[in-house]
Amino acid sequence: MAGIAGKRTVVEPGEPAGDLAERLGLHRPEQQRAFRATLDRVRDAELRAEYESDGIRLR
Amino acid sequence: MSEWSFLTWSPDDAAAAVYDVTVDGAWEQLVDFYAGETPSAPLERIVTLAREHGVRSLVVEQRHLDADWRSEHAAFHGRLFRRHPSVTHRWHLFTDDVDPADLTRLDPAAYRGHAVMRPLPATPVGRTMITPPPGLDGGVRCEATERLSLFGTPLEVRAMPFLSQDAEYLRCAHATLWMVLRHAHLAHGLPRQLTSAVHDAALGGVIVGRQVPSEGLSVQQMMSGATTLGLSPGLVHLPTRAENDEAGMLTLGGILCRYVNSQAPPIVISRAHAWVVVGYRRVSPESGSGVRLWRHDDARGPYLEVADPFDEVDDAHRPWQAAILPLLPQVYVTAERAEAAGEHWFRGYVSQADPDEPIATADLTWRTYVTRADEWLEHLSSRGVDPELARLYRLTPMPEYVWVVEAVDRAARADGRPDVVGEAILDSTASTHHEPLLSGLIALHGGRLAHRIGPDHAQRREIRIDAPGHYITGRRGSPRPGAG
Repeated sequence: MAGIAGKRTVVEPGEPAGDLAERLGLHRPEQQRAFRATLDRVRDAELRAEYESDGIRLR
Repeated sequence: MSEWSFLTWSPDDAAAAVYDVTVDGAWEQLVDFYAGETPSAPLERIVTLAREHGVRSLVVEQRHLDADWRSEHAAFHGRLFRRHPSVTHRWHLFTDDVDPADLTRLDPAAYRGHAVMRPLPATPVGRTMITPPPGLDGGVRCEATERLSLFGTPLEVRAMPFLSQDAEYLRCAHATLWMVLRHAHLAHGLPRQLTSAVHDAALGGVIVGRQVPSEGLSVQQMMSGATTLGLSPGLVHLPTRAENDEAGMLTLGGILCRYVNSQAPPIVISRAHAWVVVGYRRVSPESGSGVRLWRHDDARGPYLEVADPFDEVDDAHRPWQAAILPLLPQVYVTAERAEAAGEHWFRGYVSQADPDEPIATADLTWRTYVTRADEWLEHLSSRGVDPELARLYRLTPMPEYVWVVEAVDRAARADGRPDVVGEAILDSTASTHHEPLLSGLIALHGGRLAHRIGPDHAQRREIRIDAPGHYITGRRGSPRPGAG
């Protein structure tokens, strides 16, 4: 593509940036634990709906 | 009257009948005619809504060929020893005085919707689209626009589709599935599914009890039917008691509102009944518990306000046990996982933000929805988003659908002002197994920072916003800022 005549470079907004993970604190253990605990609660709610729906008849 | 004779149902070849419903007793006589000797709560609810809208004229097409009814008729009602007509009546509601001398001069601005009347005493209400009631003004609503032509006049109505069960071929489970699929057809472009297709698609799985006449569906049959007909539904438990409705993201209102925000009307089930949550209105600044929900209940009617989900009057509604979440198949990530990731990212950013970062001092909550990326991008400017931020987003590669987790300033929301101070944009097809979904982060804006990540080379671009302001939500279904 680079060799095709007439190609013009798109000007993108902003500046090149580094990894965001540091600024979001994603490596902090307490934050990771809190996030995993939330996901576990979500999974529990999904599983509970699944096994409690047995035998239901909707009419 | 328990049955109509064919000639009573089709009395003449007139194109329509016009009723002046401002005349005392007109509505009551219409209800008596269509419901026969048995009360029909959905029909009475439609009349109540018509009255709330100030409807003055009812135009009844007396020979409407309704595709849904025809499909049921072919599969079930046409096989009975007692005959039912294959044509329906269709009510059209107008707030002005329709001149019966010239039905070619209908006013589209006065149109408030339509309701098909099946030739079934006690369960007459078929496919219905009726404008939401004034009580839902300013609320967030699942709805779509339907266009039709009546005697050469183009009309349109914006509403959430409604259908009542007939208690034999269609039960509440079929009716709720049909409503959600009809909405998905009009709002998201899924193929149209007729009632018989819904019935047949939900026959699968482990069958308990008779299917025809239907004794109802299991949750598994509903999930299977929804999947066969083009959705990818999820299932989640709801808190069944007020004391279990703990703060956090898994409150009853919190869960249901995310899907209303996403134009994915959730089906709520109790032990024996199902209904569709079609909208909500915020009544206090609290998340989750601060909203008043509205539902379509096929056995009771469209647009019914729920006083308290934890203290239902009717046994059929107790408890709100679980919700079937009718996500589109292109959307892999659920609302709960998207919001968990968005909150995780924002909390991390805020906890170590610069001292002059304005969102670090705001009382934040989250508003989560899935949307088509192209539609979301097209509306950035009209929402008051900073032009440079809008430009960053518009040049960011995105999938067809994205989850948006908006950081919402509670104080601004309570005042009814534009309340969004940032958003995380998440790939709706991201893996839900690789925590913390970081590979799904497409862009994040909070206060002064806006950052976007390229999908193939992970090239990152960033802008700094000198004077970040508030802007209105990008969620569909609510034009008013700060409504939800």
